[in-house]
Parts: sequence; C-alpha cells; structure tokens
Amino acid sequence: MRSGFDSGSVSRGFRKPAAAPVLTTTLQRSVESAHAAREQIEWEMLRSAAHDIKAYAIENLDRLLVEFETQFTARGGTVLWAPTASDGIAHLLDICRRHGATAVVKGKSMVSEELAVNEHLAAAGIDAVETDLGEYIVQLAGQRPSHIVGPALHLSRQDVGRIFAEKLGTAYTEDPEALMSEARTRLRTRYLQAQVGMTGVNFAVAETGTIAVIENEGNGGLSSSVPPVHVFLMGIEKIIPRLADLPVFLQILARSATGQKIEVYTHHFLGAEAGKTVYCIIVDANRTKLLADPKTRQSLYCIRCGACLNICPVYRRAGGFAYGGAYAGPIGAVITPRLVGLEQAGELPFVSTLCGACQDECPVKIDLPHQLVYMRHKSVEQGGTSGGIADRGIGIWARGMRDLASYRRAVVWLRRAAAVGRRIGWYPGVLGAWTKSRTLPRPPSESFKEWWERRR
Amino acid sequence: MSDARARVLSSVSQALADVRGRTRELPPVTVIPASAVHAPDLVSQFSAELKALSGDALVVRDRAECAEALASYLRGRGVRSVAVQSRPLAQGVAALLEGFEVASAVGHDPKELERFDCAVLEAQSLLADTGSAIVVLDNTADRVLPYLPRTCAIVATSASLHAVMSAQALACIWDAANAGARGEALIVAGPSRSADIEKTLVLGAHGPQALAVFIIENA
Repeated sequence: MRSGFDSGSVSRGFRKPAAAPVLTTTLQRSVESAHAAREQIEWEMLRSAAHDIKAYAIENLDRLLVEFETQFTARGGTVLWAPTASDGIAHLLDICRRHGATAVVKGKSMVSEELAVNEHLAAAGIDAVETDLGEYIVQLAGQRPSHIVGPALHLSRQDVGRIFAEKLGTAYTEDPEALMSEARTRLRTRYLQAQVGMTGVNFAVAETGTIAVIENEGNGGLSSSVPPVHVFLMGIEKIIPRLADLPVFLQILARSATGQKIEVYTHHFLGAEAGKTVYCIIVDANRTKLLADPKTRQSLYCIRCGACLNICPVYRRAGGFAYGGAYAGPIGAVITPRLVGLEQAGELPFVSTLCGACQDECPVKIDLPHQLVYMRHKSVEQGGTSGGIADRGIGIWARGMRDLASYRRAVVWLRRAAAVGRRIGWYPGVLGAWTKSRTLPRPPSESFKEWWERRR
Repeated sequence: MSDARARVLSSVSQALADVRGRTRELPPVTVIPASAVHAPDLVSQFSAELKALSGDALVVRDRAECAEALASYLRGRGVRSVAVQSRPLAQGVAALLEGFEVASAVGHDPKELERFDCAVLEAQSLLADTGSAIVVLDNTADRVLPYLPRTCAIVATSASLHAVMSAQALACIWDAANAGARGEALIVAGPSRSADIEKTLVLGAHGPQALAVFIIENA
C-alpha cells in the first residue's frame, strides 16, 4: 500500500535544512497573531480545561467511541471502522464504487494526507481534488502539505503564480486575490460535478453524534453540502464527551491555529438530512500504539492547530517536508514514529532542541519535550537511530570515562594535538561546520589538576 | 471487514488496560468567561467585531425597516436574485423585498441555487464577542445557502444577541442536536476568507465575499 511517509526525506531534510525563506516570516506572523488573540481571553484556564477534557476522553475512548457510533447512526449516518490505513482506503473506495463516484471533492483532512488518499483514489480512476486553497496549490505542484494549518506556507506568491501558470495555463500573476479567484472559479465546477464530498473532523461529540469541522474558506461547507454523499474521515482520538465541551475548544483552536477569535465557519453536523448519505470512517492506523503507552498517550490530545510547528526553531529551519510525512514539527516527531514505525521514523524524535517552546504554545498542554525524550529512548532501544558521528563520539567518550587512566591519557593527547598557536580555527571533517564561523581558544598546556599540584 | 469494529474497539480497550478501575472524573462543564466583552452594549460590541471581520451589522426597528435596509444593501452590491432559507423571520423579511427575484431555497435542487446572487438566512443566536451568527440548516437546499451565493444576508432578532459562547447562546445548537435534528448548525463569522498565500488575507474564498447581519429590534 502507498504510504504517506517518506523516510528518505527525513535524512535529506535535516542534514541539509532548506526551509523556504518565506516560511520564517509567515511563521513569525502566525505566532504574533496567536499571542495577541490569546490576550483577550482567560487562556490558561481554558487550556487547562481543554487538557482535562481530552484526558478524560482519551482514557474513556472505548466507551465514548461506541457512544458516538450509536448517536451518529441514530441520526442517519453510517460508521465504518478502519483498524489499519488499508482498511480506511478500502472503505473509501467501496463508498465511491457504491455511489458510482468518479469525482470527489475534499475539504482539509490530515488523516487523508496520512493515508495518501489522493494517490489511492487516482489509482482507482477516481478524480479527487483538494478544495482548501493551500491544499489545492500543493496538489497542483505535486507536493505534500508542509504545515498542518497552512499547507502552502513554504511557497511565495511568486511560486504560486508560477504553479498556476504552468499547471492551469493561466496568465502569470502573483496577486493573491487573482489567484484565489482563479481557484474559486475552477473549483466551483468541481463541487457541482462531484458525487462524493470528503472532509476531516475536528471534534466528534460522543453524547450527540455531532461532528464539528472548523474552516475559513467555505470549502468544507461546500464539500459537505453540495455532493449527495459526504464522508467524514477521522482518527479515533477526535472524540470529546459532551457538546457542552465544544466551546472550550472553539475558544482555543482558532486562536492557536490562525490567530482568529473564531474561524469563519464552525460546522456542527447534526445528522443526515433527507436526500443525503453520510459516512464516518473511524481510523486507528496505529493510534492505539500511542494510546497503549502511558508515556505517549498525551500526544493523542492534539487538536492539530499547528502552534508547536510555528514556534519550533527546528521546523522554522528545516520546513515541513523534512519530517517525511503528514505531521511535521514537534507533534509529528512524537507521533509519526508510532504511526509508521520506529524503524522508518526513529530519527524524528532527535530533530528537536528540547527548548520547550512547543509545550508553552500547545493549547491543550501536551508535554512534548518529555515525549520527545521518551521517544528517543524508544528509538535507541529499537536501533532506530542512524548510528551517526554523534553516536560514535559519545561511544568513544563513554569508553574513556569508564577508566581514569585512559581518560587522563586521552586528555593529555588531545591537549598536545591542539597546542599550536593561540586559537583553533579549523576542525577536520564534519566538525569543520563549527569552525566555519568561529574559533576556539587553545586548551592550556597543563590541566587544572597539574596546575594545582604544582602550586601546592 | 466485518470484524473491523471489534478489532478497533478491542485494540483501544487493551491499550487502556492500565487505567481500568481508575475512574477519572468527567470535568465540570467550563463556563466561558465574559472577559472579552468591553463595549458599552452588546450591539456595539457585535457590530465592531463583525466590522473587524469585514462584515456589516445594521440595527433596524422592525421587519419593514429590515426589508428596506436589506434592499438598499443588495442594490449596493448589484444583487438581482435572492434565495431564502425556510425559516419564518427570513421568509417574512424576504416577502417584503421589492425589485428582486426572490425564491425560497426549499424545492430547488441544491446545485440550482448557484445562480442566485444572495442568500437570506435567519440566525437563531448572535455572539457579540466574536461577531458571529448561529444558523440551523435542516434540509439539503438550505444547507448550501451559506456558501453558494456571492453575498450573504442574515436576519436576527435583538433578543438573540448574547455576550459570549454561553450555554444560553448555544442552546439552539444543543436543542437541535438533542432533538435529533438533521443537517447542520453553523456558526458563521464574516465573509469567507483565505490567507493561504503568504498569510495575505483574501475575502470571498469559496463562500460569500460580503456578509451583513440585520438585527431587528421588534421582529
């Protein structure tokens, strides 16, 4: 089965980090607008409440999933269960076949990216088009989204202008309004022609079977309302217990994601009205591996706001493609190794400075730094690390430190080796990256201990 | 995949084995504080918030004045045809419109509604702190109205105005959900927008480019 993860891009992406220059500016603007939006509400109280609600939901997931299924079904919907990614794709293809669908319009869905839905539908001869502007742009460009909230944040307006000109044959323009208008016109026809609309899910309410989807463009509204069939695609972790819990998340999600008080459209899907067929595919696809480990369970609280990406110094430097899959940034570095396997993504937990900014930003207070450290342990245990120069260096250092005599010999040898001139301006091999822009003072000719004993 | 359900639920249940018997209390419902409301009255706050979202809010005395104000707004936007949601206040105001092609959305194939220039919707609730309106759409024709036409007009009573996203403000959604209503309850805050290109704001993404809310004092 096609996978939404490319382990090769992890190695390439972090060895030669190459985030687009435009990314730094846009991420900084995202952080600033999010901080400004938070100041108007009792932010800490709300994020604590959100954390507690998610903790309850995740620890009672088996019961709440069944409750959601009962309520969703009672309101005319059909719930389909997908233990694996392949099962999710099989359900989707089956729905398309059953309804004679040759064209699908898609609202934004991270699970869809994770499952590589577009590729699977295309292989089955079904034309699936992304309708969120950012997703549409990256689909035209033949790329993956680089950010959970802003799929095309890595592209400049000039890039987008070139993509539209090349792929759609339009006259080159870099005016965002003209580009949006072009996308709107082209996609309007697609909504009207599609037999199936597909969206992701932000929250699924167990108590009432209500599904909340939050967006700004209206593409989620059109994808869900115009075609006669609507498919929700959601991970098991999207459940919240009560409808009355939703306002807490509505307060924090938009502020963290886009710096808005509320997004333009907050859809509460109540059930299938006459003339409409509605499905909800509930996907596990290794989420239960995160759930089964108490140390990583908290990562399932994530509401996919992208705040941890915006603030992360590593994400800012490397960009989203470096993470190899649907989920980038600190949260991606925690969950991806479980979703696709440590053998494929064991390097990801190491691509963090552990500065803790992600935890401070997270609107549901996920302890990301500790989860990253924990996943590093798991990666080392399972041999998922690269065995690179750092590992070898630490191995040599550890051997030296076990024996005092060899430690002393090593120190004397290193001091002699470096005892020419006043400063060190060149290191060999990969260590040369350090001395490219800085020099180091030479080590003293004698150690502190030798100096102390000489003075006594 | 007949056993798919059992497999997922079994995996979830096994994954939670360590917390079995440890009952975590369901947290009490969080009351959203009204700290974000600063204006002297809710109408001012609502209008200011909606204006910040590039929408318009107009306060009118009654349905007749609402129809006049709506007609003026629509003429200003070059609107000729209006599709109306199947709610009494929206229908009542639209019935007073003159000089426009006015049609009830119900009875149309949803795709036909693409040709209308404007949708007239009825809000069950207005939220002052976000300048947003809650609309309940319970049939396939009404459901496309907030997105297909280029202009969106929403009518509401002043009594439906609330400070924040309180239980009272959201009662229309909860009542609809608890009564087993179908379709969608939508919170809409201004015209559709996108900032997907370099975070540059563009109005009228896939939905309306303009949105106005008419608050009727004596409906």
